[in-house]
Amino acid sequence: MAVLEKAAEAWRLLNGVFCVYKPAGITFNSIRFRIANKLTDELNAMQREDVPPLVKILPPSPEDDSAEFRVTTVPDLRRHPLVVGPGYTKEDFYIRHTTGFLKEMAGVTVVSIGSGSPRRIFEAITDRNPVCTYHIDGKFGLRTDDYLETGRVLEKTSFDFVTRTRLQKFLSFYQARYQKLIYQAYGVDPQSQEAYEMHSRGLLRPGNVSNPLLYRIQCVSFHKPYFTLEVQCVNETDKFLLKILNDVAEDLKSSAVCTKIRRIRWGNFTLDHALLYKHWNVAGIIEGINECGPAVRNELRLLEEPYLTDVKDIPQGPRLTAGDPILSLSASNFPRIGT
Amino acid sequence: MIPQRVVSSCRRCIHTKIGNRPRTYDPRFEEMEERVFRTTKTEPKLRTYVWGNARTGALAIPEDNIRSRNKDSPYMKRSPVRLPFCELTDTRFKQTSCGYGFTLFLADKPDEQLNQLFGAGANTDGQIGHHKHPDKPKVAAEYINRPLPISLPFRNRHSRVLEVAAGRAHSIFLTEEGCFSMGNNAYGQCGREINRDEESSHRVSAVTKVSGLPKDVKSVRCGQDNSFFLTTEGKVYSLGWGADGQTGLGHHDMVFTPQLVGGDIASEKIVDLSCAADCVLALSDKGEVFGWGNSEYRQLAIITDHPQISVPVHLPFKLGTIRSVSSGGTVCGLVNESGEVYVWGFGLLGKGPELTDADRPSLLPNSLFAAKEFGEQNPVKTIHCSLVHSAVVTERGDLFMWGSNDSGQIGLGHQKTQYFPLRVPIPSSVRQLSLGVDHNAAICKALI
Amino acid sequence: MGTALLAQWLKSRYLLSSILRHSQWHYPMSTYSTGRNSLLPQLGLYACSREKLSRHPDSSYTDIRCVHSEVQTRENERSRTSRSRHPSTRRNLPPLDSNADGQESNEEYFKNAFATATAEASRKPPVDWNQFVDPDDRYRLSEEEFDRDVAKKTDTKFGTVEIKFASHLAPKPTSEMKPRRQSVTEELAEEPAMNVNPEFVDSLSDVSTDIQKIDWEKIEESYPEQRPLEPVEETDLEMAEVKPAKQPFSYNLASYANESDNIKRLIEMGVQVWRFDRDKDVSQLFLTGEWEVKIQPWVDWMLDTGLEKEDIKSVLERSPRILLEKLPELQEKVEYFRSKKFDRALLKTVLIGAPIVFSMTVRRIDKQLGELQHRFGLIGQEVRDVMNEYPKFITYPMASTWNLNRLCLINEMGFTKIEVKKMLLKDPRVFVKLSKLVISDRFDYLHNVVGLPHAQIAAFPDILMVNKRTIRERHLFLKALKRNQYDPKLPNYVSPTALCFGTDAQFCSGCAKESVWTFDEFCKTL
Repeated sequence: MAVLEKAAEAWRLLNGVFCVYKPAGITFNSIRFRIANKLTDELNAMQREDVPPLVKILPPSPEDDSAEFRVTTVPDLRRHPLVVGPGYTKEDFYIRHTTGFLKEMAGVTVVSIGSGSPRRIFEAITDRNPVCTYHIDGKFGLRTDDYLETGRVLEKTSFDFVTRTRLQKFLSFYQARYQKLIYQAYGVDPQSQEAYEMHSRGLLRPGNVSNPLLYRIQCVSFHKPYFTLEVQCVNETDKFLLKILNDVAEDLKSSAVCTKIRRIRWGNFTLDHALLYKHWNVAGIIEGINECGPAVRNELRLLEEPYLTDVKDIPQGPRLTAGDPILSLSASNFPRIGT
Repeated sequence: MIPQRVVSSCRRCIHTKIGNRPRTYDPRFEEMEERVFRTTKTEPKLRTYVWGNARTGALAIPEDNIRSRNKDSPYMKRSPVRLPFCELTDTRFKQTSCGYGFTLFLADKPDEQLNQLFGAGANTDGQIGHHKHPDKPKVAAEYINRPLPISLPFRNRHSRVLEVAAGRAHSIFLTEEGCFSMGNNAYGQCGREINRDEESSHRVSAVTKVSGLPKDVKSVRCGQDNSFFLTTEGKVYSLGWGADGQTGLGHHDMVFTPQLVGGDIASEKIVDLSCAADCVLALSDKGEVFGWGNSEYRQLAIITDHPQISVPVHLPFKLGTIRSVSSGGTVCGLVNESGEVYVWGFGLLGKGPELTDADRPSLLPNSLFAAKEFGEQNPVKTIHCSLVHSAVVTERGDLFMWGSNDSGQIGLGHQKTQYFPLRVPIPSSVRQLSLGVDHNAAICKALI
Repeated sequence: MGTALLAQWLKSRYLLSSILRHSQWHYPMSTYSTGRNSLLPQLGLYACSREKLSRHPDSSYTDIRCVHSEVQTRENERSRTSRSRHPSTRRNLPPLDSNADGQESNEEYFKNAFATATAEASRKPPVDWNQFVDPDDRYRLSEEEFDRDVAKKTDTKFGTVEIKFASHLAPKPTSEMKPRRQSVTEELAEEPAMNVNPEFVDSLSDVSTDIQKIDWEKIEESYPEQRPLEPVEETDLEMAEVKPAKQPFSYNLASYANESDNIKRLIEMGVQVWRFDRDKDVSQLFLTGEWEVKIQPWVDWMLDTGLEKEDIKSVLERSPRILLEKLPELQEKVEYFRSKKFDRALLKTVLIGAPIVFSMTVRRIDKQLGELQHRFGLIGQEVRDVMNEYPKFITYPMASTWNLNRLCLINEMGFTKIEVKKMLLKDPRVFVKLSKLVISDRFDYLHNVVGLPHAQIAAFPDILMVNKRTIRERHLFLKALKRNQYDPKLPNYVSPTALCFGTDAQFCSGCAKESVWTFDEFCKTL
């Protein structure tokens, strides 16, 4: 375990790309301000370098009558920490992050700190569309104007006939419908042998920017009236995700609103790499940069491929297995009345 | 995201107003009427989807304007379309069969309905029966563009029709009272004696009861100008043209009385049979394939190079237990127990534009059909091959099609040739599929 | 023509002087050696207006482009873009050291100087910056206090403090002169530039006579800065520190840290000097004020009030403006507090916690304390307890902060007056640091979702200071583990403080009895 005492050492290490777990309710743009403020507070509290001396060459004074010059060093008060002030300010940090529009959306957000190679890496990674996985929690029974639970209620419907199998049938239909769009987005002549070979390899991420595409949509949990959909998609917007939930419920002849959106995967960055809010400090970020190294390298490697990545290459889901008791503690397994 | 609301359980804060934020629970919410679209007891309904060439009226969708040149031309439906007849009259069909330019429908729950047989499309040889033109009362209808009821000469009014099959210009109906046939009999495929001067047209209604069949006929199949009858014991009887040996009786003559087919299938129990043109493939209950008929396109090349085989031969495929087999115009296909699809023959095999012929079955990769998904199994169940196009249906009812697409019969919305299987988006699960020459019909079950 | 120009120039000098009497910064001289430098020290006019310089840093401090004169700004704008610093390029004003009077030119002067320079003459003592200090710069806010002849003496507890005025200031404007309030355009409309009012010109006689009295040569000889081209030897004391020429302005106090005694003393005390950079008045005070005169009396006052030496530095850091208050007034407030039975320890707490209180008027302090007592229904000792807890309380405006919150708690959230009083006595920050929306939001969550009754929230008002997100995470975690039991009568009681305060490790081991890793994983599912 390394111990960092000097602020300058920590400052040099704060260069890299990592990812954070943005809590629900705060805007995306506030991420960089919060991180910058926290880092300035912490770095200013760490050890500073000593005050540099000021060299004075005093001429031979007439009293002493020695013909020598006296060399003295005096602490340079101009550089004294009490005079100069804290060494780091908010403007010293160059922080960028992937943004969104819905502040209720929580989840993995990629952040880069430092200008130079982290900035270039961040731009390279974020220019290309990543495959993101979302967990969207829904609640049957009502429909609102902005698809969220906090909107104005438009309609109330029954949902006692909805079963998990019926939901899954519709989800597979959605998935297949988007397959066609995905293949179209490849930009390959559908009449060519290349198209057949690509199809037989399986679904790939289109190389160019396209409309929102859905790769995979599954129902992860189903406790009426609450249910969770896992959506794997590309080029999505927040409205797109909300609308999917709404459309699925409409096709089921019921209605639903979205209670929670969570991004559990951004390209190669998963929840394991993400830093919680309480870890948005010097130690946490340096550790995060270290942990996200392989993920960043993977992303950069995949940039060179023409069709970027095969969805199967990305390891599926978090580290926890299905039988892990921790998963049962997830808030989505419990009815959200009153929360 | 968390709804801000007031719980009036505490007497003290009944009048609390949470700032200026809007309440999520509309005060009218409790008074709102709950709309019920479905209940736990509603069952998903059967739907009929049709697509392809509509010039002969085979799609049974009456269009007012037949001269429009729009993208959604009435001459063809490039994507599957729900049959409006079913929705308007609340008739549910449980089985269809597509012939060459005409379609036959068999209704579900015949006790509740007046008619159980419907037909639409070309009636040039009287294959749908004698019907009056809906607009011209004194004229017989040659092309029918809506499902019209077909009446059969039953002794018992309440006899049920069990299965329908359609060939090039003839139809076979399997009923409780036996097998009936209608249409062209130039090669004896209707089971009547061949009469060269016979005028088979829409003005004549000639319904024949096929005689010489045992009573336990379980299923009927139609080739181009052939008819096949499968019994419960697994025997096959054939009728019709035999120039390519497709009757399987050892000779190349026409047959107008049903005769038992022997050869390698004499001791086998045949469960399924498929013939779209001139090559016939049969499937036994043990999962083995037998074939006879035309082999010009190397469909039976695993056994012999001879272009015609008039006696059923066992095709020694070592591909596991086979569950579905289909023989089309030039392409043959089979599906085995684990859901793997093999195709051979000539033409649009489904492996891209480069592969045009294969005399041994070659595998279509499973990833085309997205068989193994996250936690769910959806293997391929059946394969259907028609003259120029083919289809595959999975267990959950997903439909994949490929082949020639001149009339939009692939159902993807365009008319370009499809060289490999692509999923046809039907918002229901396909239960029974029938491929005609340039049009298709499918019986599907709604998802909810 | 010449007289008009001269008159204009003299007018501008008068305006300059009037401005500079109220100008912001007074900095010591720069090392720019122009002849004009010699004039200004004697007159006590320092033309360094920080605002002007910050706007156009290239302009020399001797730029007499006053902001108040419309005419001059218009004229000055023409030549503002020119970056020349040499006075001879200025079109408006005649150069000081001109050849008009037949004196020797600059070149000749320097030649002579170079010839006559000697090593001994150049061995001169280092510059004492403090000699140019004007102690009573701008703190005369009204004309009545202005009296240049009388030295003001004030009797304070620390002895009589004598504040002397510099005698070299310009005279007070008399009523004979035109009032300054009349705009220059009006002036010029009545008296165009060409025709100068002789009265006006006569009134400037003091300045002009002063100028005429000046012995330029003597100044130039004695002024230590007039030696740019004189030979400098290695043994000169000034060569001991070779550094760039001092700018006429600085944005922070660091540039003066090595020279200024005050700043050195502050550093020894441990005061964070960088905090004064933004405050002009305070920086001015520390740079040019005498310690014994301007700062030590206040320090002594603070010690007298009860502060320790370590506390003084924190007060000076956070609110140095207390040095700008007048000592009698400060003492008045102390007397007021003593009359209200604030003992020594409490005064110390108030002074350390909220020195701004001593900048408020006594009347205001009294009013605030009265409102506090009246609205909450407190007795005297309770008021003093509140001041002990959170002295800054009375610095906040009542109606928009704590009274609003109080009314909101009573009327909208349903607390009783007694509960509200209890909350105040326990944690007054709740009323002042949080806005009404925030309190409502957090209370709503704690009461309706977590299920704490009013009495429990009133007993632990600290929990309203905690972020709602933290409480939500912890509450939902406990709920998932089925340990969310907040009723003290039942077993496995989780107190609100245990729920809201403490690190995650303490919370997890104490209340949840799970590992912190589990809690982290759970938080990622929210």
